Amino acid sequence: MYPEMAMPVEGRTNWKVFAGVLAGGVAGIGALTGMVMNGVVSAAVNLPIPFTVQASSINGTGFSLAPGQVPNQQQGAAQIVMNGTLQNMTITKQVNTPLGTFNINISAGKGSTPVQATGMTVYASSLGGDTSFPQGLSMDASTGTLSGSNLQMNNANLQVPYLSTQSITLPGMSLSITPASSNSSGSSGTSTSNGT
Amino acid sequence: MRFRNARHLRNKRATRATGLTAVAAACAMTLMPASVPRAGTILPGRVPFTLRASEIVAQNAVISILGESMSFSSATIQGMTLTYSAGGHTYTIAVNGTASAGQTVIKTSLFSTLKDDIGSLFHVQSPSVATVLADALIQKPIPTLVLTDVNLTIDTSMSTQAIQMPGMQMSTS
Repeated sequence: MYPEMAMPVEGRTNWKVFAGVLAGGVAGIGALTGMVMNGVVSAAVNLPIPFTVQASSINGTGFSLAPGQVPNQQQGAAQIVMNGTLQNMTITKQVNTPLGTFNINISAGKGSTPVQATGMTVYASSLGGDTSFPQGLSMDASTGTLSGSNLQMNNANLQVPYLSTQSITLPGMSLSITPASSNSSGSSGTSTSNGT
Repeated sequence: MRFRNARHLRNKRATRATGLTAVAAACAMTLMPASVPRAGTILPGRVPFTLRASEIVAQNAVISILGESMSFSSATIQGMTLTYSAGGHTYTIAVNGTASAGQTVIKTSLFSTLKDDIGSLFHVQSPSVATVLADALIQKPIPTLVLTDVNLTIDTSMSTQAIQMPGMQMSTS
């Protein structure tokens, strides 16, 4: 009988190798995150759905609103297409995890540099705010589409199951993740990024 | 002695495996991927709008029975809601306040029924119903037209050169 068959051999972790691999991975993730935040590379982002978009003002061009629906959503969602600038934009989402309920908050476009989005498509289950169409609004019953060349909305609040943009700048972006019971901010950063 | 060591190692490995399994399960639950948003679809087909208002005060209004249209140079609209249904869903745009519209044209085939059933579309407060119907036949402008309890289905189109909707709220169900 071979001795190793009677006596199992226990392996050991080489902690120096482990630390080296871990440090390399963390450095790689940090570099990639930095490049995304500085617009060097773009990222496709899927946010947990639905989420809330708020802005102190939205100026939109090429606005259209049509009846639609989003997969896996019980209620309908109007499809909104436009190019726009959003002042003081915040995206918020409450997420339940086994560790508790957390608020994810992304804000950008404060001060004189608003968020700029082109080719924006939003499916909104609700949309509210002080709204005006200074250059006209038309409603076509043959398609159910409302369209206006210019939209101005103050104190905007959208419940959004889906949002995509061809490009977006997020000046002064900050991200905070806080427990739902707490109002204090977590981490933050400043960046401008392009993505979808 | 050798047997005791082997059993000790097996127990140690089982404990370690159990611990790692618990940690992996916790990580998997914490990092469980959120539902991925997918693009929606536009619901096809004709979608007539229903314009409701508690009161519309319109200036220089022209109603045309033959042309199946109504136009005005400006208007204030109280209690305005626009409702339309598609794909089993109802979409409502409500204005919390007084909406102000500029030059506006409303086209709907329902204006052809004006002389028979005007009360189902709106109540005329000023001028008289007879005056409105007479002017509608010859498309004569009405300097100030006051309508209440407006419930007008727009099956063709509505266009306005400008409109303000304070406290606008769009909702779906």
